[in-house]
Amino acid sequence: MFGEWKSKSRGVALIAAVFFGLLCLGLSTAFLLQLPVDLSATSGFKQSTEASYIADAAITDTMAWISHELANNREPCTMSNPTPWREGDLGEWSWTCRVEPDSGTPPNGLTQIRLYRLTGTASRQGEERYRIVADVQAGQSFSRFAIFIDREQPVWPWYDFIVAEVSKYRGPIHKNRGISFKVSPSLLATAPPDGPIFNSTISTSENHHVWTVGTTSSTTTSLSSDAYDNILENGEADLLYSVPPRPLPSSSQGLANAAWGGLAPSAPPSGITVSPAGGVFIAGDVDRMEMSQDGNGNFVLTIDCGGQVTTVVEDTLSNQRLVSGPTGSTTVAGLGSGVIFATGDIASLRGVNKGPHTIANRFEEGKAIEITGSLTRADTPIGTEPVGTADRLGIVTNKIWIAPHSVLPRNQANPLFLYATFLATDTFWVRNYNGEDGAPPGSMAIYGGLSTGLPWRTVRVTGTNYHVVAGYGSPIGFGSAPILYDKLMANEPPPEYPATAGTELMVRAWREKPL
Amino acid sequence: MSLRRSSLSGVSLAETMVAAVIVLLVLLSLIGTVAFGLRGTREAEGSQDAVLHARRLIELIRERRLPQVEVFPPEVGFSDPAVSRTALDAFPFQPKPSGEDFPAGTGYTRRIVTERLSEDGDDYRSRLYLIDVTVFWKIKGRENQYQLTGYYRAP
Repeated sequence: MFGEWKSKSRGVALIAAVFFGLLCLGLSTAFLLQLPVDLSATSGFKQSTEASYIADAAITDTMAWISHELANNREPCTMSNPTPWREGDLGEWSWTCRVEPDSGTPPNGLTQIRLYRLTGTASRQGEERYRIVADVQAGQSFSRFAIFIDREQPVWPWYDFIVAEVSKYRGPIHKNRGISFKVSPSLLATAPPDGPIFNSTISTSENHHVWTVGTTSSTTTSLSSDAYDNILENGEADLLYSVPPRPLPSSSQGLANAAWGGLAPSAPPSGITVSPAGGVFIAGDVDRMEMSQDGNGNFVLTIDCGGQVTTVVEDTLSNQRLVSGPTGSTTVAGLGSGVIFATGDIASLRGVNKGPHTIANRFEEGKAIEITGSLTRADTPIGTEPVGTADRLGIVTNKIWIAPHSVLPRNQANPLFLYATFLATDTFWVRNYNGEDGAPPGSMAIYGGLSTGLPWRTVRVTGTNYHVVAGYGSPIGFGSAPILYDKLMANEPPPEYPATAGTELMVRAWREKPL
Repeated sequence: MSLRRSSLSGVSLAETMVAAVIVLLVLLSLIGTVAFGLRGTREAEGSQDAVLHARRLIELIRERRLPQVEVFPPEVGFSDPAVSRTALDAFPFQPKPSGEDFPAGTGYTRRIVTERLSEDGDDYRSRLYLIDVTVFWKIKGRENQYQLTGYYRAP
């Protein structure tokens, strides 16, 4: 039995050793095979990173070139070369970038906001390795700002912003000059219970702001870090300095063209013109302009010029406009551009807006618009913030007047509601503000934004006392108006709403893809 | 019993010797393979960290606008000395945890070069700066390097 076992067990150790050897060989082979994969992945990571920065350089270089062309009043994209092609080298790498204007950007259109799609590709030894597609924009709609101020009040001291516990400012703020703040002393030490006073960036073209604390007249250009944290959502980081100034528009011709449906004549025929490609063009002054809805929910614009009343009904169902006036009725195909333009003053504006519209006049000639009633919107219950952009409204003029109490009574219980974004190249002025002329203090709320040439008066100083006379950011009933920033309208402006004529490009979308 | 034991022992000894040699050879080759693999893995890890450091350097340089600020007034821009190696967290960056730039003692060093692409104000490239970052690290005394190049556009 033992002999049989002995003969059968011969070679077992050898077989076991060979088996073990084969097992180890398999393991080491797998290990060796895996190693090049790891090394290749690392090499790929290194090259992909290099390629991504080369493609990024292609976009950066092209953005600088476009900005330079625009700054020198040259269009990057022309009729003869609508999609220019840029290329360059960087070490062993080469890059290309194609520029494509959007449908409204020259040479395809004439919008003030320029949008380009840039496709940057990095290549090495003729092989494409990485691609970045970036959508970039030159110019910004003024609807993007909650508050925009172009210049300084001629009389000092007027403070741009009251910074007290009750103040609330929402949305980006910019001034082409230094901004002056009047700060409640308690805010320097204690954070307000409802969070910081400002929730967005505050930019200036100067290299400092001016802060005045309490009723003192001494000013400082900076506060403590803790004070900034109490006032600004992101602390001092929200204060931006030396931002290039953004001039207000100097001509309303673009709006006139959009209302006319082509190049608007300098001496248009009298009366109201409604064209298929345009909006509503009014030659002369308007005594009354009222927005409303008919029984079918269509937008109705009533225009009274010297007793001659014209109505324009935008029939969304049949996609046409019905124009009824002193000379009869007619229909015009399409809903038009949405721009309502008058060459003269608009003495009375009020009503309910439906659909995207911009109401404008020749602001460069000092024409004004007086608001004689609330401007509300069909898609938003009064007193609530908009949740869509369907019924957005823009107002563009030289001066915006809010009618006096005798015409437009208002108080804290029954405030004036303005659902619009405003641009006034001069200023926004409230008649009878804070009980002037014996009238009771007014009250209103703006759901949108406000861009003006001169700042809205905020504070008047009498001796060592100061009091709010009008201004931004305070709650209803403090003799001033809260501006409830409509960020939806900021991203989707009213039709042809003016934009900064900036040449600086900003990135709106960015996609990367290794090839 | 003694005959069986001596017979078994003789056979097993020869087998065991051969088997031991095989196992030894296999183990030696396995150790060599593992050592080779580990070295490769270390190099791969080193390279990956170097790439991440280089990216971080470029992003910090852009974020802090180093190509166009007076880091050493009145000279505008920033570059490391051309020949020497500088620690990653050396000026103008800060080590963690006091700063948030780089962990201290990474073993990596750097060389940064920033350069304006054109001094001609009429040239659009006068607003562009080249950022060239090289990250160095050593494995067993051998120096490795990774170079990354990007652009910075002055606002």
